[in-house]
Amino acid sequence: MGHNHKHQSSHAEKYVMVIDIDKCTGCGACAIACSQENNIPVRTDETDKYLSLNWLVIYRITNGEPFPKTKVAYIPRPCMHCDHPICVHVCPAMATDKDAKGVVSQIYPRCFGCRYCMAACPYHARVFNWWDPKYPEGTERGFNPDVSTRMRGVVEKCNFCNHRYQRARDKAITEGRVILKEGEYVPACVEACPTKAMYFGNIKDPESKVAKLIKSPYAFRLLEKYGTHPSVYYLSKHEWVKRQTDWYLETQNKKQSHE
Amino acid sequence: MLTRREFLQFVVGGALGAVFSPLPWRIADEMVLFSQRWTYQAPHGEESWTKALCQLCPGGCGLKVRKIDNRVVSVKGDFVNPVNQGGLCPLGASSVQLLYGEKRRVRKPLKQEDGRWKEIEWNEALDILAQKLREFREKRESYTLACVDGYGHGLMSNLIKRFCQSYGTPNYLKMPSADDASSLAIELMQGHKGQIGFDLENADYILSFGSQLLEGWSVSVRMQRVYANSLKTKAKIVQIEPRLSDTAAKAHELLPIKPGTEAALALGFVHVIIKEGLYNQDFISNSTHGFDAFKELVLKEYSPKAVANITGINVNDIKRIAKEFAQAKSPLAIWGRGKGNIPCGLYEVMAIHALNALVGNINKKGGVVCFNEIAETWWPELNLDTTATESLKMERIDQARSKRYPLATSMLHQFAFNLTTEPKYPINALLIFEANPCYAAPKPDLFIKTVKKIPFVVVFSTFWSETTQQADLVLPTPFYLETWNGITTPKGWPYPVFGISKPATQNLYDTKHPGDVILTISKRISDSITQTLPWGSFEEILKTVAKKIYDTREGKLASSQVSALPRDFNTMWEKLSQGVWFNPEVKKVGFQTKTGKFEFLPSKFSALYLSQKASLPHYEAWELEGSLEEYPLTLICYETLMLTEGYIASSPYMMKALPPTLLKKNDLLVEIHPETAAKYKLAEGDKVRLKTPFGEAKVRAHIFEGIMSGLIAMPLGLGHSAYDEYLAGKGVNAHQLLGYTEEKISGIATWAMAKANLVKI
Amino acid sequence: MVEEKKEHQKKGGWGALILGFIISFLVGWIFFGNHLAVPPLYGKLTQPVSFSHNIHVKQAEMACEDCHYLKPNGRWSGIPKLAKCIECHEEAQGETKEEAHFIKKFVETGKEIPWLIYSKQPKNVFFSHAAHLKIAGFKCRRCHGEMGYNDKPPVYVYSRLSKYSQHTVIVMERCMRCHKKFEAPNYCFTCHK
Repeated sequence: MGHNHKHQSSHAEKYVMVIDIDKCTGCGACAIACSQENNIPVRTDETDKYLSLNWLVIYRITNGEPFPKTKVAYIPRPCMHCDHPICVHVCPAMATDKDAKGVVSQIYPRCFGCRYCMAACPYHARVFNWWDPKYPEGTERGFNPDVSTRMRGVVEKCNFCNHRYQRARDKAITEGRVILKEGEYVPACVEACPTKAMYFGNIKDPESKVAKLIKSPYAFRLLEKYGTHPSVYYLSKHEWVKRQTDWYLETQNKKQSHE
Repeated sequence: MLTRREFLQFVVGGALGAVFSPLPWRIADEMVLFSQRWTYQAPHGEESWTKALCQLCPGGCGLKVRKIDNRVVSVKGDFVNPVNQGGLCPLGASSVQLLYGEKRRVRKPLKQEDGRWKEIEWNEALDILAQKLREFREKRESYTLACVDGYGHGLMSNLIKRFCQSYGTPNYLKMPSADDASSLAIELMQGHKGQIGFDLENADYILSFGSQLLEGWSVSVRMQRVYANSLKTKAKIVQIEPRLSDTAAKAHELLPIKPGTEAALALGFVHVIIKEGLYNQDFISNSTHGFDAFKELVLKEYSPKAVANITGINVNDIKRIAKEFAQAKSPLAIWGRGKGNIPCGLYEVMAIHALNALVGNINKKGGVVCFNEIAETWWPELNLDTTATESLKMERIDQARSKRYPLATSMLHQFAFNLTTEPKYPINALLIFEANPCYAAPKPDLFIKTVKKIPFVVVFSTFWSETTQQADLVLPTPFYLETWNGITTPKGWPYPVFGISKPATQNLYDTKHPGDVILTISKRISDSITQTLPWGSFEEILKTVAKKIYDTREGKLASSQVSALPRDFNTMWEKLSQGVWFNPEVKKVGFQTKTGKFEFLPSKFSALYLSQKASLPHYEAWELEGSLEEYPLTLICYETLMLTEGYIASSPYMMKALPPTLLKKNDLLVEIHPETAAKYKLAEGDKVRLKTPFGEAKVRAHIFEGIMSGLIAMPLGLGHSAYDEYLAGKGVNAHQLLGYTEEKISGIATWAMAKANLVKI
Repeated sequence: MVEEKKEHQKKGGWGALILGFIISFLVGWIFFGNHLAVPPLYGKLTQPVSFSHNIHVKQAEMACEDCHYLKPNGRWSGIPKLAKCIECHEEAQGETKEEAHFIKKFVETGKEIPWLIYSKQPKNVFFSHAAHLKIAGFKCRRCHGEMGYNDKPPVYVYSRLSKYSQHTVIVMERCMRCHKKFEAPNYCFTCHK
């Protein structure tokens, strides 16, 4: 893996997503924008959520109080693009790797469907094509040519819309630069969010919004105890949200649990 | 003969020779490449971007459409548009799926022949339609035409209304919604017949009576943003509804109320505000009429204790919320159940709006704003001929505007009921414009019976809906990405907006814009109609409206950026096709009542000889059909963002996003409180038969704490039997079970609740 | 017994080995080699229009960038569409048979020319001309040879098994080797989608 700094922009880029749970209303526009952008198949019966193919899953948690004091929070969960990706370590086909800008890839022709990565991922971010992908008749016309469609027997997952990075970088190179400006590369989910609860950017750029947000005292990541160092941060001012997502005991406080 | 040794040598030599040739590497490479089982990948092409305005709800969000060659591949929000500011909702995000989903779309005009569909050309279709309509008019039976308008408001809606008037039929009907009560209440109390907006962006205390702010009320993208902003500005949102919807869970406070008693609660708040003297004395004494009578009624009958009994809400909460509301800087009370599709009663809206009047928050920043928009007022005067004038004198089939229902403007349920029992005259032709009443009308089976009774039913539809299935003549309309259209002020938006949506891609199928169809056949029916509808095409109407707006020199344009109006019309038209015109500085319309003031006791009521109590906002319990012994529970309906109510049905991606607590395979799960479930010995997922006086259905139980005991909740939007396999056969159509109840004074029918019972299967 | 054995061994002969070696060596080079490109593995096709780069570059004095350029959005223009040809070839510009055939079959009917693309990559590959031209500073010849100066298009050779063109790098290993040499990234997502 080459690391010549003169030719690469990747040493100066580390992409991170920040999701503000307090602003998120669970509308689902992000999930549907993701499905449209990435040619995600739909089966006629999608009620069995274990078999449903979804790259961005929205979890629902409550504060446990009785009605009418119940409060709800929605947690959109894309692939975490961990800095220590367990799925990459276990893949026997080397169908997945982590590149310099932080995105964990998934290459479909190389995957042979052993699903070891699915077992390894603690976030259940990966889904498997049990059958040939089916689309509503006629909607093949609306396919995004920048994203490969998958075949049965391969694992797929969110890739932070890497194809958008490829296009944005091409445009930047044509204009004579290698570093992308803030906002040139955003995944489809972040773009669609109506409450602007999702942020995406390069934390190596000190002026970017995400660089400032991850320093917030309300920022946390899912299942930090596993040491996966995910690239997706969440913001929430509510203790009950943090407890259920960061997962530490009632008797511990957050700092203790990470020691 | 080959010896064994020679054979082995030959083989080994062969292997060595192969190794020194390209053979093994070529075979390996070719096998790798050959064995890749590629599924269909879309071809690359020229990428281009164009702008459009989403028309899947009365929101008109700005979109940027990405195309590869001539195919639309995705839509994203347009940052410059003031309504959505770059955001999308699930329905807008599914636009491409709705555009290209072949199974649902009607591709060519069709007519019924011997019980089968026959594809015909547009010439023939237009001939049939024009000939039939001309025939009725010449026989002086114009009143036997009925039209159902699926748009609700906007240019198409007004065009249909104008056509009906110049043709000579009084039977112009709309799909029912909360707008019926809303516009009637504002007309009575303020004398204003134009647009009603809610300046929620600037309100700091929002009291929502059943309005599902985060699930599609007003413009869903806008409301999401209002909520996100409220976290920053610390505006308080209080939700009043019987179940824990997402809006209720995300709001600051939820007041769980007995369904149907919202008017009582509003008046309870009024009582506390008046008693504590927290109302806006200036506004009340200078700008209102009938306050004394109103005050007397409220103080007598709506004490917190009485209201607590009716609504089930704690007395202390009533007092506290009322005080918080009145002491806020810009308090705003809003109405319109669910997304605004579930009708409220007239008195309910009057009671809630009385709260706004009490704090004087009308036509002010952060309050209810009333204005007129050019897109509604620009239409030239109507010059009707004698045929039309005579014909318009006939009483409407639904008896709106008659002695029995003097306040009603359109009652779809009465239309169906009267036509299937003893109508005064038959209806010979029914035109349904982009609506789905055979699914979404109250008592849909009754409407289907009605439709079957009418000999000539024409349905203008993009999709193969339940109504399309009942038509005699189907005229396909284009999807919004394929055609020119005009966007007017979004529902509930506080100032006028007008935009032009250009076609993003060419017509996929043989469709025609319904506006063009109306304008074409008008010219074939009679000269007088041609005079009232002189435009050659719908695009021409759009240009005319654009010119009228241009002439005012008011407002701004949001195309690639926000700018003032340009100096020549061509540039204006160009920019309008790339965005919207909007006017935040629009002149607000004051009180146009007889007294020139806000009327708690509407002057118009005096002509109806009502008692004083009946003329004031008050609480009237809905008279639900069925006895309490047979139906001890109450069924309520709710709306959710992933399920659309009627004509534009949920896309497959939206059906995929439905939670497993709502749909299990094809079975609907209804929400039942644990106490009720225990009484009926139900566990999670158990099959039950849900019965109401209007119908019954097999559903499953979802034990849910977020609902009041004794209530059962089910969503609107499932139970389709048309469209495609992603939608048909899933769940139950709530309308089949809810029936309707009519409010006597206004004729408005609501299906917000019905009496119900459960039987475990 | 021992003598018989010795006799067998004396007969010796690597004839079969050499024969096998030669046969499979020849079969390998003839049928699987790129140079002869014969069936059954390889197929040959000719382009639908016999386009001469030489005429356009020398006589019409066109530059490469007139038809093949980097678009402002970063994507490569690829092979020009019919509209580009029609700019000049609405009517015959010369007297060749090929041009007449081209005008009759494509310009008059408005049909896009179904070019056989020599450098076509598999569907999951993202090749960035921008990166190779501007960052690596490659010239066209490096990958496309003398394509820009030919009199008629070379015969298009493809594999009947995998259907891919044989004129270009199709095996990932070759791309990775060059990337390593020039110190370009070799992550999966650099080139795949």
